[in-house]
Amino acid sequence: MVEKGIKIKIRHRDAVRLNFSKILLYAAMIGLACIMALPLVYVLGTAFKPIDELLKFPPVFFVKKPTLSNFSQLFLALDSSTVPFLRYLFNSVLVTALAVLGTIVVATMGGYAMSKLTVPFSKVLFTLVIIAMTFPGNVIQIPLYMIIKWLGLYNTYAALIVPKIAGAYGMFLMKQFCDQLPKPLLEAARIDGAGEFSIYMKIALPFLRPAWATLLVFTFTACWNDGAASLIYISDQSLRLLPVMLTAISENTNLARAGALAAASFIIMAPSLIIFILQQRRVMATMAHSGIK
Amino acid sequence: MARSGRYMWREMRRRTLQGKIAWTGLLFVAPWIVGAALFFVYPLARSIILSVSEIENLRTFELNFVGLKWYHEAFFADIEFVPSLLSVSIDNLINLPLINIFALIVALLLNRKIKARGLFRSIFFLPVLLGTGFIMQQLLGQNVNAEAVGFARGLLIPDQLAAYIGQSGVNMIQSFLDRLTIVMWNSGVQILIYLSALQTISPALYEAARVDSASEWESFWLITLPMLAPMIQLNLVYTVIATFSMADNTVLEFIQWLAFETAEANAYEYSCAIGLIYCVFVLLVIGIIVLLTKRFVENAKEGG
Repeated sequence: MVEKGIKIKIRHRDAVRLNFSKILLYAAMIGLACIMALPLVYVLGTAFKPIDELLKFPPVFFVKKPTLSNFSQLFLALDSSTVPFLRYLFNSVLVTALAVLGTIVVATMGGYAMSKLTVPFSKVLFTLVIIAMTFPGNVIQIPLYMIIKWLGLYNTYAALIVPKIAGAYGMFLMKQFCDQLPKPLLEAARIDGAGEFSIYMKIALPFLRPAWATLLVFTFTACWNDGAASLIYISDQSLRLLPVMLTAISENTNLARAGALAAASFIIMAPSLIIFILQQRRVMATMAHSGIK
Repeated sequence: MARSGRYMWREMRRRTLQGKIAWTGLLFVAPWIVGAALFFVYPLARSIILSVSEIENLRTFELNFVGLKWYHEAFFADIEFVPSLLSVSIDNLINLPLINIFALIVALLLNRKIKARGLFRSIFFLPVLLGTGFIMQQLLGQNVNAEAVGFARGLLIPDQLAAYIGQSGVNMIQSFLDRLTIVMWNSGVQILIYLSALQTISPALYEAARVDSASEWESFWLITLPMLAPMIQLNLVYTVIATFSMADNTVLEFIQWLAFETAEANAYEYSCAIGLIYCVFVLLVIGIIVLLTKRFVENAKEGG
């Protein structure tokens, strides 16, 4: 009896301690998560604040009376400019879609071949991939500008799309991921008479799905956020991208435009966020297994 | 796959089965090769040539060889370049251990059995996605982030306390908080790498240690850390690359400014030279880190 009592007591103490450390753990996680996510939540929330809440000091964190007036203000503010908002939106959607599609096709084909087909000088190529990955892009911008002019891409959509497609990161990711694809599977398909291209389409692409979903998320975000390229390679205002418009608004911000700016920030940020949320499981799996961004 | 290039080339000319597969392989990689050649290799070569030349005539792009003139100027004449390179490096090298320690701690926390682990993981990863690029620079410029941080500050440092510790104390805490934000916003990828490495450590090891009456603290230092050694090295290198290529550092801003925003004489050549110095410098830093951690990684391999 006594022994049993002691046992129960120990168990009870253990359980209490366990709960306490669990609570501490959750508190730490939630705290950290809040610090990480709050600025994002703040930016997203700001887009729906009416003007009096926007200008309040100290700033209010959560919106009290949500409104869509900032978005209509954004359209109004841009109505007076020479290039309509929808044109920027169209440019951004087109450029981003083509760049993302191109990157995925080039990277999956290249990575599959580097990993599973015999490519001459593949070691040299892979070294090149690594070097390109460690290079800050700013360093080669002047010659890049020159070659874009020389190729006749200056002031076309192609200047914003083509240079991005042969990215080193995509190639690296796909090659690493493809190394996990079992070779006998490919050989079986080859014996059954499948051509190399149909093996790529029917076996490699579905296998690589998490990897290219990840590449999709990253390339989408990079293109959608990148206004700098369209400032350098494009002189025609009507071919420029959304972030450029955001800069234009933010540069001559007066109080009335604060709402428009918040709405524009929301429009830039929301799509990346949505795509990430949709693909997050695949992104996480890919990042954990093959690699590094 | 590991065949030499020359052998492959012979096979390809003879059109054997090996050669046929090699042709297909080449065809598959061709788009990438063309792209990389045009938009990376050629610009890089051109950049090296520019950095040792002087542009005679901007229209015809006539070049005169001037040797290491711009490199000399960068180190001995420019009063801004070396100090800003140093300050960027010091800043990043302070962040380097902080980011990795923070990432490791978060990974250890995430590795426990907790609910909604996936959700937390995604939240920690979000800044990787949204914390970079043009838009974030705009937002930072607009002080949106500063407001949000300031908001958190208001919670952390009440007015009474601020009055008590004085302005310098408040400044210290604020710079600490600023660094904390930077560290946290840059550790998303590292967290995932540590987490996946932690999940590959066999639980049997910990169990054996527990049977031998090792405390959790001891098994962290004797099991977890050595098992993570290769990943720690990888993460350190990754962190260096990531932090040194963030576009908001003063050296890269200076390069950008020279390239596109100034009409000064010889700005193009000088910008190329500085850019290359910067790249070589980053590679050196990576090399040093790999060398320093080499022993640690090898010891861990032998021990495990």
